[in-house]
Amino acid sequence: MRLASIDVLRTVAIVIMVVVHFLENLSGVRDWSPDGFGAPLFAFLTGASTRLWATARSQRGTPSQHITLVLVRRGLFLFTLGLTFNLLIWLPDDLWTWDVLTFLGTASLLLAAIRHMPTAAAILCAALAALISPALQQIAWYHEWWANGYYEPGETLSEICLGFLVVGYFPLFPWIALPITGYLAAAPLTSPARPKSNPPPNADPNLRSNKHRPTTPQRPVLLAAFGLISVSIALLLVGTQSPSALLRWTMFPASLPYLTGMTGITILLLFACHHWLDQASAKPLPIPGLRTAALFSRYSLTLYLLHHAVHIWPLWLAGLWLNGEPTALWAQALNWKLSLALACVFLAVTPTLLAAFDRRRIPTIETLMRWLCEDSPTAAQHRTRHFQE
Amino acid sequence: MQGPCNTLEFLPPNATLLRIVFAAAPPHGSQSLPGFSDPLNAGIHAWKLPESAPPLDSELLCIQLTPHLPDQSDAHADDSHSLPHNIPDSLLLWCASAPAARGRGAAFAALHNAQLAWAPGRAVLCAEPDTLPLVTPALLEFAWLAAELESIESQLNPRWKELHADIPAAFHTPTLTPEQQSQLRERFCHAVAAKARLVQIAPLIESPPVYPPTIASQAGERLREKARLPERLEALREQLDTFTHVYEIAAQRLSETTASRSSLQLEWLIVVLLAFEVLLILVEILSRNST
Repeated sequence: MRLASIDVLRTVAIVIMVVVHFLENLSGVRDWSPDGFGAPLFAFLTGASTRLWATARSQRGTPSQHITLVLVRRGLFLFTLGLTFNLLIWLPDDLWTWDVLTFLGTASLLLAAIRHMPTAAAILCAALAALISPALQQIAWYHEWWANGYYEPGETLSEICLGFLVVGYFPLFPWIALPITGYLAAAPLTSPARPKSNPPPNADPNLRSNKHRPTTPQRPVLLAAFGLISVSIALLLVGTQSPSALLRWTMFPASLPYLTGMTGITILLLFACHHWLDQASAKPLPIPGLRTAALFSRYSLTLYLLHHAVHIWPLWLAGLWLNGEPTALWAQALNWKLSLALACVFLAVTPTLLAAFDRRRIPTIETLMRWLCEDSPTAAQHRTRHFQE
Repeated sequence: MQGPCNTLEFLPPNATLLRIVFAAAPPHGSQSLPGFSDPLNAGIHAWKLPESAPPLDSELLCIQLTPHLPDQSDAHADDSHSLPHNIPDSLLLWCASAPAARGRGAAFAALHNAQLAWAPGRAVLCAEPDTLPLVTPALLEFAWLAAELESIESQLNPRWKELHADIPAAFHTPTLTPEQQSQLRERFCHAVAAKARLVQIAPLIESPPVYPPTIASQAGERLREKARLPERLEALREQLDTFTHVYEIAAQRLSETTASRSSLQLEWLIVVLLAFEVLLILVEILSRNST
């Protein structure tokens, strides 16, 4: 099930992410860059697309156990890829920084379990993950790990685990709340819309059956989104009167106002895009760039790896060449205008590159993931029989 | 001979056509018909419809006929009418050809000084003027009983297909959608309601013969016997037992599934709370152990 809304939003997240990373890593710009908007959108969409994928598979007759198996494999693949990425891009010193890939891998593993939970338990999980995190950050002395403005990973097992759970770049808590919310919020997108057929002209208006009434399964989710945004605004207003850092809009650590606000905004964005892009699919909207959005979305993992490789490796090489230390030029190599221009050039070149990948069927990291995590049709049929037996 | 208008063409001069409806509320322009005692105390009355009223599906066309006593001039004119209480063949044929009878013919009962013929929706009663008020209530009660039984039968017949489709639900319900659950609930209620109705009217059909017998009691007993009401009651009872048996098990299974879902949900909530408590302790331990 490929939805244009998901493609467009994922493209937006990728574009923000590319711009933010170029600006931050090459120029050290963090004050005004939109760094808090890409990652939550990406995490939320992971949950939503997991649900869409699982529902589509289920409707095609794939056994539930097999769906879980693929999700677990995908989670393990992303986790391993995340660690490999840290090793190769951020160098061995930053192996345990817990970047977004390791988080998405863990999220995929947890979503495999959350699929089997009742909705109420999944909602409780997301709510507790968000609510308990300020306490966890206090217990773990979060700010001690971020003394220089970036995360400095520890080396002992306890420190590594603490980084994974609470204090890393994308720790499990509270970030797991976003994929879970995405998974839950995507439910109305997967339920088939009831036909809004007109009742027979001679039908008694008091006896009209339910099937003639338009259903609004999106209403509770939209109400929840507005509720979350309201909570975020209320917390921020309280925060202006309080010296506590917990009530400010911060991404590192992901504060409660930030998390609730971003969750609400992403839900609204998803439903707005779904309303304008997906539900009008009977007569496709002439929006330019939908094809590019689909390409960006399909190759999002490749793009994530590629944009890091094209700006971080040259940075390390330059640092090593000029100062003998790979990270010497980090965040101070270029002025922000040049970094922004480079990001734009990368984004301009990418569609052509991805189209070539697509046309020539060049294997990408997505191909490897599918090859490792998903069965061939024959193997899937065999496994289906096995599960049925 | 499909409607009352046609009937009037050959209606003998000593006959009266009544259009009767059994209902709680009087239809427009109708008059209460005395003699019908509400058997179930459910507020049902027999109403006599005016001639001008539009035809109703549930109405009973009843021809009351007083015997044509032969005088000397036509004493031997027609052998078939030699007995004074005989219903003319034309009226018997009219009665038997009732559309609701579906070719099953009419039930006929001959008493000492009265004759009765009945088919669903039509009845002919021939009796002397002093006997007529005694036999009419018996005929009305019988007609009402037969209509009730017919109504349950006609409701049940189209539901066999649904029953066959619902049999698996008696074994396994978790895959049922809320709409299917609601359908199942509705069918269960319908089967139980039909059975309750049957149980209510059963004593009236299976009542023992009245002693000493009266002409009214004899008329009712004969008609019930001729129309095979006890046999039809027994068959309906068995059919409804099958329906209620399947739907009772399905309802039980559905209720168990719903209860187990609630309990599973509660268990999950407890597990999640415990997991977060463990997480708090874990982070505290990890924090204490890190430098």
